[in-house]
Amino acid sequence: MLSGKLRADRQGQLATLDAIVFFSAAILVSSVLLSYGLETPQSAEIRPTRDPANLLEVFLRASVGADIILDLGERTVIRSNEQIGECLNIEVRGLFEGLPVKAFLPLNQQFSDALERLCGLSLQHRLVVLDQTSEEVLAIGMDIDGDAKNAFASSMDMRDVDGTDYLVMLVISTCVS
Amino acid sequence: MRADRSGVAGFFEDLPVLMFVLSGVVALVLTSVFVSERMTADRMDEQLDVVAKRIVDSVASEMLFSCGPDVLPTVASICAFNYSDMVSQLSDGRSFALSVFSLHPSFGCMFNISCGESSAPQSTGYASELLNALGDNGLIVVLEVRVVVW
Repeated sequence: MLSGKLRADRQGQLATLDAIVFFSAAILVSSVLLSYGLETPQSAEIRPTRDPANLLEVFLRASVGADIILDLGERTVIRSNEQIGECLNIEVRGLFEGLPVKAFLPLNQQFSDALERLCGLSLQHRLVVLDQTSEEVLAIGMDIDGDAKNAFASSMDMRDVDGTDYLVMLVISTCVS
Repeated sequence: MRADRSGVAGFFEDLPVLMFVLSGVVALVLTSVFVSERMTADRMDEQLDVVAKRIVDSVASEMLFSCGPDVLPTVASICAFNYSDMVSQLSDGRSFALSVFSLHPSFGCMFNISCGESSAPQSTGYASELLNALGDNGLIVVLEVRVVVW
């Protein structure tokens, strides 16, 4: 080549071809390794920063936190130190007796605010009350797709002031789509 | 001295081959190092998460029983206890920060304990737990225990 004459060096071409094949194989192996390495580990999969069972338990045991006046035909005052679970019992009893959800709006707003404080900015919440026939009686909070991978739920059997059983379910979802 | 022209030509002809082979080897080595380091860091994070969870569970149960079994703990009794020694033992000599916040009905930091190096950590573990306590005003508040280990 340096002498100025062109010559067909088939062995040289073969060596270059081998090197390209090796390089391609190396890139392929590197890509596979990288995709494996960049894969989210099992433990770091989307998971809530709160345990829904723990969250529901402390939520129901906590005090309402503010005095609330409800118009349930007669003026009803909910004191700030009453527990949320007890207030929910009163509300569910009222709903079973045919009172409109609108009558409990200030109380539900307080529930929602409390859940928002407990969940923080990274979680959405929805509190659902189901009667014995699994009919939805009350729903507080945002709509959350029940099939979503990033939704987590916990439920608790409750009994209202007249002894009727109902189910309260809390669904929380990380704000990652 | 003699000029080995075919030798020089051979060297230059082999350069592309050498370049492809070296590039392939470097790509493989760099990827392997990156992946192994990342896996090590993930494993370390998992271990630290387990330690943080263990500390949170112990601290939360200590708080819950601070006024005796089946009695709701008071915020005052929770704040009065010294958690430093307990957490130091559970953290196996690792650096940690323990914080207790009031989340409901009002937000506020109750106390904060930390121990260890202040330099930027390579891996961290985190765990938190919620619990109820009786506040000074007769309200049942919600407290959050947060632990970071590194």
